[in-house]
Amino acid sequence: MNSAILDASIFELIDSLDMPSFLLESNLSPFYMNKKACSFYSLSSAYDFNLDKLLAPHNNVSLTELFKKALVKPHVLFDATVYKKDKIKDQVCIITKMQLGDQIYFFLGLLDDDFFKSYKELQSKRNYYESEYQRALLKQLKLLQDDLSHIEIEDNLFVDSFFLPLDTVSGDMYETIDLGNGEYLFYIIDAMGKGMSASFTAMQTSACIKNSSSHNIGFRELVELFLDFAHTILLDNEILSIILIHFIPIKEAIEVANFGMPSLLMQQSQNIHNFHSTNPPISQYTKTVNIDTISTKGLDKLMLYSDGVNELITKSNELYDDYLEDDFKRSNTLKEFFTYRAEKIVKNRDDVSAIYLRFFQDNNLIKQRFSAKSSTNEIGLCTKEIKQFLFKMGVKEDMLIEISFLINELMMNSLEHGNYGISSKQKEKLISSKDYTAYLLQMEKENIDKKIDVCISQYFIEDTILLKITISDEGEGFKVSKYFKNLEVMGNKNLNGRGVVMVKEFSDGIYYNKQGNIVTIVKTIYKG
Amino acid sequence: MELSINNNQVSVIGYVEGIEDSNSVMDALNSVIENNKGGVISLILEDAFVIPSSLIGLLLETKENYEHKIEILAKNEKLITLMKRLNLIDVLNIKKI
Repeated sequence: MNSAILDASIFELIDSLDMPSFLLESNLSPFYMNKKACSFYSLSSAYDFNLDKLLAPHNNVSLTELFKKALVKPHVLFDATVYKKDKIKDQVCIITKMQLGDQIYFFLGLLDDDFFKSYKELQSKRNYYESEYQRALLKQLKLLQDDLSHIEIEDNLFVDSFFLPLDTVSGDMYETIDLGNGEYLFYIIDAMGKGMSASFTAMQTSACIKNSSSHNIGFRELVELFLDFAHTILLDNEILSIILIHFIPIKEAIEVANFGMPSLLMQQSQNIHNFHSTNPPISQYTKTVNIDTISTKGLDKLMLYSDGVNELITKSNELYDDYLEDDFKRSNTLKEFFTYRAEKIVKNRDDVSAIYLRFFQDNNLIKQRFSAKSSTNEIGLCTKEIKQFLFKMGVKEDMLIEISFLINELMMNSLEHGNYGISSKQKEKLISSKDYTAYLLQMEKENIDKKIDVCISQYFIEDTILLKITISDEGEGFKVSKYFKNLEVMGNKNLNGRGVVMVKEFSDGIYYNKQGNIVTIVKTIYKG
Repeated sequence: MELSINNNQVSVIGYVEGIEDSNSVMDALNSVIENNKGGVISLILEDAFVIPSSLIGLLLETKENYEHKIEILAKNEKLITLMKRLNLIDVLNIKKI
């Protein structure tokens, strides 16, 4: 036994417990016991003892068997899950498996019935609060207005967002709002603190912005109204950080009001620009507003984010902020950015929010178009043709399978939900009643002349080759933002609806036009 | 994609691509189900690291309506990860081999 790998705090913890407690090696020999246990059994006799004999359990279930069962049910370190409640000498036995370094240990605690009852009560309270927190997060997601994620808002301009609370609910809040006049509003709020209280502040203030933005007022007026509202809800010592961006594509410009949030990152023609905050975080005493106007001419990408993205330590004990620009520059989509970031960090230490705009300039590219009539057979043929084209381009086999899978899934969606107009609920019913194949044949006869078009654009960006694949159908489209929100809470027994989830998984980004009848995916196929 | 049937087992070699392949896999699985005289039915995916959503739907529907046990044995770790992400490991009784 190598006791060096055991943290001293484990012994302190066991010593501090009121119940007789043992630490056992994986071969079940006792390794350590606390004073309370010593008062029951002397350490010397404990080393000699036969666990089964000394702690003879009820119901002929041997304690050794109990441990064996625990062995095949791996559990998290110090998760106080009761493996087996068993009467041993009128006491209740709690066994918890622990992994310390490479070694497996078992913690054995002997409790009386009263202690066990209190433990169960605590556990049930914990379960209650956990489920309440979960509902609070769902509510937060419901309130969040994300009109533009997964949308191509202008020709070749794609929007993505990322939102991950550290606790169950978040002190961050982001929204992407289509102002309806060809202009857009993006913002991220970071309320002081974390968890429930911060989340109240974030949600209240975002409600104010949402309400103001629907009244067709200027950007400065909106920010000033927000400031007035923030004064009414902030406590004396409380502060609030926020970055708001008003995007006016027709003017090729953005207006930025940044109150203590991290710099806005932009890349234009391979040059990275950092636009620092020009306002302090908002407090009760904030009176003035600075708004910057920045040109988006030649914009490649733009990212606004909360400090949970950059203020954390990497695996090699450095500040991740030092790598942020590089990862941003290498990335072609938000998903790629977070993949590079995940390679460097251990775990998040704060709420994480980001909004990413990507503009694909139409130069340096090769385009190829394909088309299929509305039948599964035609889609199969078209996919094969595309596969051959990609093979000639030199795409490797694994990548070829992935891309052909992605195209096939999306073309099938275009066929079923676009050109055939079958809703998800209708499809679920038809599959259940085994009528789906016959229904597809009937729809094929009625809609065969409707087309599904595929356009593959190949981009060469520095040492990267990426594909932008666009698939369009003749259907009516659907409400994209609502669909992506619902995906997060989809049940696992639904008979359909997984195609887009898998496309999200295997592509670097998936985006629809506002109507929902043109979908674009981005996939990096080579990185030097 | 190649399919082979051996007693209660359907083995899929290569990649399941598109609705045509999905239907072929389901035809093979259904023929095993029809002839099954008891015991677990296994669908073995030798190479696939992804399967079409149409196949997932058909498998869920078959499991729902078929009283005997069906298991999916996958060799590719990437497929297991994907199925975990889709929360389908238990629902489809997927095991790594």
